[in-house]
Amino acid sequence: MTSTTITGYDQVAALPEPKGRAGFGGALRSEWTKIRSVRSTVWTLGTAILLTVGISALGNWGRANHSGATTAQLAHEDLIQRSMFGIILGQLVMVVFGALAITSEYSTGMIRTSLSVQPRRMHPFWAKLLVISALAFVVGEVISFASFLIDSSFWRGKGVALSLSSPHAMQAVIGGGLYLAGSAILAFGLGAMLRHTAGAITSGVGLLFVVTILASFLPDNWQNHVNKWLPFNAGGQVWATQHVPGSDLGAWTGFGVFMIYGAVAVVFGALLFKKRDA
Amino acid sequence: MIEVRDLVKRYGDTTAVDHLSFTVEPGRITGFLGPNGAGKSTTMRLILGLDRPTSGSSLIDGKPYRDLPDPLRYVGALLEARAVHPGRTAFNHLLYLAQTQGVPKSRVNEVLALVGLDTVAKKRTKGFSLGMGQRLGIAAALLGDPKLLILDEPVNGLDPEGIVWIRNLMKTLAAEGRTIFVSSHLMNEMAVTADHVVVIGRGKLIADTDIEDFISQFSQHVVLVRTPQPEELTRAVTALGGEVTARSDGALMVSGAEAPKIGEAAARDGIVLHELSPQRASLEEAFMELTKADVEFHAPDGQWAVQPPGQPPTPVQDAVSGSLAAKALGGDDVR
Amino acid sequence: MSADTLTRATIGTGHAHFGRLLLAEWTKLRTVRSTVWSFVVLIVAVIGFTSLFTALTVGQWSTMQASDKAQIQLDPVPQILGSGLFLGQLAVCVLGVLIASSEYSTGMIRSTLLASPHRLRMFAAKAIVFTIPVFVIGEALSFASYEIGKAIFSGKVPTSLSDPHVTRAVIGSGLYLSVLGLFALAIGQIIRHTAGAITTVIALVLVLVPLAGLLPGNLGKHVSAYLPTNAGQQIIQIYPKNQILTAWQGFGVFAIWTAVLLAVAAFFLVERDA
Repeated sequence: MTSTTITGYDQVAALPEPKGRAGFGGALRSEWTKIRSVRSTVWTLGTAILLTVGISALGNWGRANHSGATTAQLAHEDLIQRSMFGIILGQLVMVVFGALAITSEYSTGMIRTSLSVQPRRMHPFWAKLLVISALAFVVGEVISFASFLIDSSFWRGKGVALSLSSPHAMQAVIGGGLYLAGSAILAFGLGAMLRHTAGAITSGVGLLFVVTILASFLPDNWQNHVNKWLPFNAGGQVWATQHVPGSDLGAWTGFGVFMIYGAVAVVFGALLFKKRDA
Repeated sequence: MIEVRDLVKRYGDTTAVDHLSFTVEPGRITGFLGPNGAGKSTTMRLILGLDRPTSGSSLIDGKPYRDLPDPLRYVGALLEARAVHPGRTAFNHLLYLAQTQGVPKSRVNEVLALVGLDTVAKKRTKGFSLGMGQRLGIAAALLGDPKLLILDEPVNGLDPEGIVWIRNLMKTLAAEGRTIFVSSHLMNEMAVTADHVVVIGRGKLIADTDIEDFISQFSQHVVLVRTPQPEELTRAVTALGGEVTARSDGALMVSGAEAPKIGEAAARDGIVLHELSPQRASLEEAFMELTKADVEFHAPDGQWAVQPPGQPPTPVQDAVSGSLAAKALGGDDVR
Repeated sequence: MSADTLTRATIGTGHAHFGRLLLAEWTKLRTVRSTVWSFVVLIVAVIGFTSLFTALTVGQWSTMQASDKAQIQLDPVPQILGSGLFLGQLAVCVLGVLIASSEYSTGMIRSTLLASPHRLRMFAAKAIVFTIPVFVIGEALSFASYEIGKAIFSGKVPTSLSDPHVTRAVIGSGLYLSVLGLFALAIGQIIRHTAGAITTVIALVLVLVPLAGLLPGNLGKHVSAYLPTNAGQQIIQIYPKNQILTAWQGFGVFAIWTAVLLAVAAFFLVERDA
């Protein structure tokens, strides 16, 4: 029994000769396919948008229309930052997004397939990082712009004129998206280090939330020294327009410090990714 | 005894199990066969109370699984895919199962030794190979010394020694009067193990018979004849109503005539025979023939090699399988 | 593999009654290293941070503002217990979710349901076996942290268990954590997906419910007061944050929320496919 008609394999068209090597471009395309073809991506990013914009809108509408604040009082507040305050929750969802992008490879066992088709191990790693950073950035900007534009309309009704041309507004609004992307990148690095979904999410939440809240139990002058370096406080400067010199870092300095946390996590994650068994 | 009555399970538009009814009797090994996607695993999950049927029922000795007060002492089940926590040791995994039914620790050690995992009992299951995970599942199924065994692909990942072991185990338990219900794709293994077969395709019952009847009913009978007088034999066979095909190595494949008749005809005409052997059809051939129309996932050209090369299906066999397929499918394609 | 034949397992009635289910769930809990370690880490972290923060406060006492000092002296319990409670919340939320959701992520739910097809009983056993250690450890940690904080604070900040409401607040910390654990377990069972459930619980407890304090108007204040963890935390306050619910009323509201979620979770467990 030698006939190959039995399986029909000979009727499948022959593959064209391979051109060149499995390059980085191919890795990028494959990572993009991976991320866009999984439901959790839509879930997490969609939830991030809805929750952040929604909560910002709710809080700002409430304060604009129902609190007793006078226009004079409001002039002293950083309303631009306030208009995006849903980012406090949005960063959490971004952490899930960034962590899942890499930990799901391990939890499903797909990492074995991914690494066996790509001989240069770091290709899929950097490609994945690029893809999720870009995606998180785009979604982050959508969130920050939407929040700002919606909520500034509430404040306009209260007599406070806010627009993108207000001082530092562009920096703050663009910064909101940058901060959200940075949260995802930090979580990605943690996920690569820990390879465990629950662990990566918990440590991401820990670094962003827990550390900040714990620091509030420190005595005041300790807080003055420590607080500004914490990820949430440092990163938060990039979507704020008011900075208290001495107790806050500047907008871009703060963001730089925030991204250093992310970079350290990513570098450690990369090293472990490269060395460890799949 | 397992009774399945008019069982139906739908997921949205898909009907995975379609009015299935059959009985699995104690004291013998019943093989559960069907192509991929036929609904075997779904049926087993319904029997075990893991999923709720859309309608219909399944009873184990008269009670639904969920109502059994001591399920593990009644039914030992092994379903495909591991159902263990990777951070737990093999021993502790079996221990917690044992404790639900008051099975003593000594029993846990016994079954671990039985399946050959006693040396790794205190190791976390994370590092277990496929075969080890499978054996752990078998150990779990045997923990309560159950009256019924429901096994889904038990030999998956086992080495030859393990395959023989489990075959003998099933036979021993069946001889003790227990009910053994095992699904498998390994036809050759099933052929030497099962006494009775239940065959389903696309969620419907196709056959429910003893294995010998199944093989003889749904496969072709071919007799291999070697003779120095091929033309004379061909004449004799054709006179009997059979058909002869010559094989490349000189043997003649005769279909449509039984070996004793061929022998007698040859003797009458003075034809010398060097070999006269009925080719016992295999379970594999019978199965392929029967489920041809019901295979969910086809190879590209839809052809499966059932008959010996160059041999077209005989009109008789085609009529049988054709009519059976027609009966099972109600005359139309299911979709 | 052994050539021996099976021997009969001769024990009792073999019924999967509740006592046995409890034992089985306890085995499950104690035989996963990461669960045990999490409790250990929690104990160390809570004691460590409580000691650290109170010691630091005492160390900086001379340089602190008079108004800050007065505030701590007025209500020392949040200052002492606050950091530990916060960590405890996080740990209990994650563990509670995992106890339920890991059955699904590992596929173990199939083994569990085959052994205990009476799903309600299994769920009750699981909930009880999880809550008892949380309660015991929670109470032990509350009292331990309080005593440590009190000792470190002695001289600067006087406090004692006989001060009004202090004992209730300390006991309440442990109670609050226990109910929170069940809250997380219920959500873990409903969502069945580890990442999704952890995120939901943490988002609810750490972000959304506290944010509700910003809801406008009187209606907003009432809605916020009745939300689960806001209500539950009333039991830890000596000077209640909102006057809408008293300490035990608030705790009762939280318990009712949790009971409802547990009922929903149990319903889904019984009806849904494994």
